[in-house]
Amino acid sequence: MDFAYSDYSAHFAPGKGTLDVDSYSESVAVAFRVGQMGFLLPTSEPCEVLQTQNVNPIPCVEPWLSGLLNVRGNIVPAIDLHLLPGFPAVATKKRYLLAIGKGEKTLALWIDRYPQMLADLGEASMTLPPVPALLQPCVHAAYLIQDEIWLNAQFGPLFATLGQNRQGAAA
Amino acid sequence: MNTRQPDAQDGPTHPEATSDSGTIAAYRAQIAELSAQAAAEGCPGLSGLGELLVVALEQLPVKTVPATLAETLAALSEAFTAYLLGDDSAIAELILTLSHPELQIPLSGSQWAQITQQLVTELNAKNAAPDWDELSSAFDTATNWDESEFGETFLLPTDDLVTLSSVKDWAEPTTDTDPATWEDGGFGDDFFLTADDVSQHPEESQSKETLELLELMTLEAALIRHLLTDVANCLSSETRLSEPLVRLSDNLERYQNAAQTAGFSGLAQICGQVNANVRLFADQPEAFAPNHLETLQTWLALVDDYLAHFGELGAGLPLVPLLSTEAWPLPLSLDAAAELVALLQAKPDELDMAASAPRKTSASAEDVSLALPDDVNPELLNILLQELPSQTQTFSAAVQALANGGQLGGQLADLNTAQRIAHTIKGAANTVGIAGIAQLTHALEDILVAYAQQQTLPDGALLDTLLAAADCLEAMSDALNGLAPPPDDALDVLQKTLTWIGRIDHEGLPKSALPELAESNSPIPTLTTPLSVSEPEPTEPAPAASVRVDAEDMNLLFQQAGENLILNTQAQERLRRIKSQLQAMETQFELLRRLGEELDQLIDLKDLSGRASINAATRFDALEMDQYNELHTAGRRMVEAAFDARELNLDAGKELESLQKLLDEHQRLATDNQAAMMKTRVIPVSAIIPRLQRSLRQTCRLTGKRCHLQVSGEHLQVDGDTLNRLLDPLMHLLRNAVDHGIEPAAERLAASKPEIGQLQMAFDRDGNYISVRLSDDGRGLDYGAIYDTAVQRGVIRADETLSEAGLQRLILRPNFSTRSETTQTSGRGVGMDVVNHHVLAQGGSLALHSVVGQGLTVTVKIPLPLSSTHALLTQIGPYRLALSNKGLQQIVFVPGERLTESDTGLRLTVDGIDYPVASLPHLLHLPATNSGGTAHKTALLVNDGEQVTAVLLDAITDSLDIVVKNMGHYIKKLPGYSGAAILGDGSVAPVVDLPELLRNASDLPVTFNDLPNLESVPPPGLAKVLVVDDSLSQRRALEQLLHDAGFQVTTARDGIEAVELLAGVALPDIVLTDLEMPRMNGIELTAHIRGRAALKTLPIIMITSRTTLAHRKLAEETGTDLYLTKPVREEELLAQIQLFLDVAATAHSHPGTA
Repeated sequence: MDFAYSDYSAHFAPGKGTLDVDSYSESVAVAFRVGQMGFLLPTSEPCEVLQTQNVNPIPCVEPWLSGLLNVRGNIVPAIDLHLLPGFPAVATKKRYLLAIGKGEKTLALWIDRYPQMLADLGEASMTLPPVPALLQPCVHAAYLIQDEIWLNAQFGPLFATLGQNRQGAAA
Repeated sequence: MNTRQPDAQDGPTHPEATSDSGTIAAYRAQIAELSAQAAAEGCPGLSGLGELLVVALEQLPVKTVPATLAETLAALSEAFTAYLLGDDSAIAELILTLSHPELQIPLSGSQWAQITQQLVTELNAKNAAPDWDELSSAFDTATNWDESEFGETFLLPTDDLVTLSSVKDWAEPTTDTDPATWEDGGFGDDFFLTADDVSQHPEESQSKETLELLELMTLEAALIRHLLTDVANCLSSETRLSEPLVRLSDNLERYQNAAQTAGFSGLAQICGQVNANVRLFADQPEAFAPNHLETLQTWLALVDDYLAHFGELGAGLPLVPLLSTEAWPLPLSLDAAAELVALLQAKPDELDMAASAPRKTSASAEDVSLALPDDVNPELLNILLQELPSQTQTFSAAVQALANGGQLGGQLADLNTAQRIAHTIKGAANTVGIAGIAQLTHALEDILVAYAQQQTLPDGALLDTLLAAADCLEAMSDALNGLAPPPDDALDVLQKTLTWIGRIDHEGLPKSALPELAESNSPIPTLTTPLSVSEPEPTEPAPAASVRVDAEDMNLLFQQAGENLILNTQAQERLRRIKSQLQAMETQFELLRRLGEELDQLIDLKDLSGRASINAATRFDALEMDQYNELHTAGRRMVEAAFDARELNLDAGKELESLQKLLDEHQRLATDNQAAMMKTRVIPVSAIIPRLQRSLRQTCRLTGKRCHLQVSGEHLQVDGDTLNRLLDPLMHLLRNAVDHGIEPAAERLAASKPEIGQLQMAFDRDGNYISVRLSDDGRGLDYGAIYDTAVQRGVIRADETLSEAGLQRLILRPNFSTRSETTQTSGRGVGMDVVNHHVLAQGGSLALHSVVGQGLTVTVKIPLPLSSTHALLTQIGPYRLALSNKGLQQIVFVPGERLTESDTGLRLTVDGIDYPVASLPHLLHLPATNSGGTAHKTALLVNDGEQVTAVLLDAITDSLDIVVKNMGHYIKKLPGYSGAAILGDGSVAPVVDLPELLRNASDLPVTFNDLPNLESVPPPGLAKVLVVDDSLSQRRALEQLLHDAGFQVTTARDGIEAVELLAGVALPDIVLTDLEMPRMNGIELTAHIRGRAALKTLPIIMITSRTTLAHRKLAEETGTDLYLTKPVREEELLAQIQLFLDVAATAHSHPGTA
């Protein structure tokens, strides 16, 4: 799926159909960016920026699966959303690993800068910007805050989809 | 009939003769007297009727008895007398009185019928009393019989009747104690034939459960008595009464509930009535007077009496008038009294019947419903759901044992077990309110009881019905636990069971059911007594105390136990490194010591040469002239310091040894802890065997085939979750085997196979997996049909040829079935593909092995959640891999020249055996990291189940025990990996499953490999910098600086190490190197890099303290891109690195301009 990410926030073009849009249940959310895409996490979702970046690569897997890391005894896969089909490769400098979830259900995402707290999310937009195909089922709403678009994405289903996708490719 | 005429004058006087004649009180007194006499004369039914009349009179709103009622009541005394004389016409008179409209007794039709029936029964029993003259003559030989004693009293008290029962036994000496035979003749016929006689032997007639309940209720009553004492104390001491009264009320409520639950409905109603009064007193304690206490005490005494005589007709009736007295603020209403009388008159067998479901003759959908009642008690339900699976399985096993045959004693024990469990389940299901299970177990219990009583065994069609019912019961249990839908055949099974009961009721046990026991002279063991010593009844161990813990909590504990072990492994690894460093320090100290000694010698030599000239000139001793200068002293001190340091090092070594012991101890503890935790999760495989057997039986019934399943490895202890996950695939495989594999009987016989299909299921532990092998002796896979179907569906071309293995894999494809029509057993659109999907989803694997005409073997493997194994560590470029020892036979050191080339690829000969060769990087689709076949390598001889292959790898970096975990929640299974392990340094290594990797090697599609060469290594998220410096501090400083700046940093201690790293897969984007280094310096490294085509453009920055132009020139000539002298400004270095990276990125994006 090709689309110009440089035009991403300026155009706010509708995606493929509108999705269920419900107002964010909380007025405050954890926000982080991957490339030019911004994501929101409910504050109830456990997440942390990991001190370690020792991701241990696995041979012969999809590029977006950076590898595995040890988070307090849990083996956590690290995902590079940049390398998902549809995401343009963006040269980045310092990146951080954001662990989302708890215990076995933890997954780490490479993010571009420290997450921030966003308040006063307001009403969700009824239309969604174009997002990579894999992300589409997981994105529920979009918010325009200070000229930046933030997507309310359900990462659990996304991770499950990625896992299945990986298995499908491997099988 | 020779009876004594009761003296009419002995009876109570008519109320008109009294001073308060005509008043209700007078009538009440008269009727109460009549009632008491009836009770005394053994007519509790009549007595109850009198009590009811008394209550009814009390409730009348007038003080004087209305005329019409007075007329009726006037005849009551005569009716009582006539009744006592045995005149059954009196019954109509009595009922007429009771139903007088002025009395307004609100009895229902059935209650009227019940009272009438009771009076009739009572009178019949009375009239059936023996002719005492005849009886006494029959007892002439009884030496101790005192005729005058029993002649004086006609209506014997209960105890005397018990005595008569003994007399009967004496008069007709027989060993036959079966009550059924008593009806066959003798004078006992008349005496013992009525149902009322049950009441004469309450302890004998009541079930064990009823007696237990009675005991329980009596104990509970004692508690109430204790509370009454508290109330009495407070009353006498004039302290606050409300608290004890509230406590009394609470306990009365509990008592009421207990009575209701136990089936004592009458008592429950009485408690409710009393409690209503007590609650009033609790609200207004000032109204509670000593007479109220006395009434309560009287009430409790009557309750005790009721419980003591429960089962006897009329027991508890005195409670009715007591509750109707004006002593209570809320006396018993008339309708409540009527209802209570009916409830109290219920006989014990009625109680039992009321507690269980009534016997049915035809089953309806409601009878097999598993719907829960709206007011279901969740705790009771929880307990039922917990116990039901094991109970139904035990029931099933017992019935199966009956079907299997065997020794009679053992089978009777099985019958007993089945009966007992059916009874237990019935009770539990009734308590919770699940009709489906209650009805079925009720019916089953009836059948089993009939057989147990006759000590015979069911067989033939009935046994089939019992087996089907056992299966149905298990399926119901599964359905309630949400594991399966409700059984389809429940209605049919229940109907068949009920039909059998009806047949047994009418025709007795089927003839075939009566074994040759009668012909046997050997004593038949009864079901209630232990069997012979050689055939002991299987004893069931007393259930150990158990605690219910939330599964989530258990998982957490289990995980923590695993982490504990992993942390220990990490600590052990760290310790090992420290010990290794200590060893190196020891060497260094030794070197220091030696150098010190050398220095010392050199000083001495120098001193000697100097001293010779000095001495010659001065003629002084060296000491005298202070010729031992500071150099001597410093040298000596250095040597001593080296010795001291060595000593300290040795001490540290000892400390580490102690630490090692502690860690070993901790490891043992952690391992034990994990094992103990594991024990809570593991269950024997045998736990699922009954369900598998049931599934097999059902399939056999549906297909009309006969099969026998033999299971091995059933004692294997396996994680419960894993075993449950295995159940569905296994049941499906079984159904498939019967439906598709096993041939019809005729076909089998024609093929010289036994008529009964043979299935074998073997459970085994295979490394981190549980493996199950299911073999059948059926027809095997029909490769022709598979091929035709594949061609027909366009899966393969018509001219395409496929190996048998390839055809086998085809049936694992979704919706691939060779059947043209679906069957009820395994053809409902699900096939082997579904099983395969199930297994794959759990990270397992499925393998098929078929021999046409001989059968199919399916091997399923499912990974266990956590296990420890021994592993070898290896490194391929940036990938650090743990190779599990699964399938590993031997580790061989292989000089390159021992590898030989053949048509099929490289071969390796070890001990005269020729092995195919595969390289690990190739198996993992990684580029080779070594120069080729001439280098020395390590080969692992790995058995993948089909053949042994020599797997080549560059080096084994470590050998250690690891705990294999899965790769987290989102990644279930990676082909070729059995999981991942956390290593001693906290890093994570994927654990390679070499046999699986070898098996998959040929299957792996090319597209699976996203990394065929260096260019396709996962694009790094961060620019990578290689820092080469022999100074640890310099390396660390640069590493930290660059890491913080957002680079991925790799370090090397000298040029040689850097070259090794550069031979790997992931190349750095830039190299920072020192100039002077041991083994290979920076200039040589630069030359090496520039000499390799792949690295020619790699930017190199040299950072050195050498400031001379010659060094700079040399570096630049060799190919260094930037020469920086120390100290280097951080910003400048970062800016320069970024510059180089930008240039490289530009060159990469515009290769033409590069």
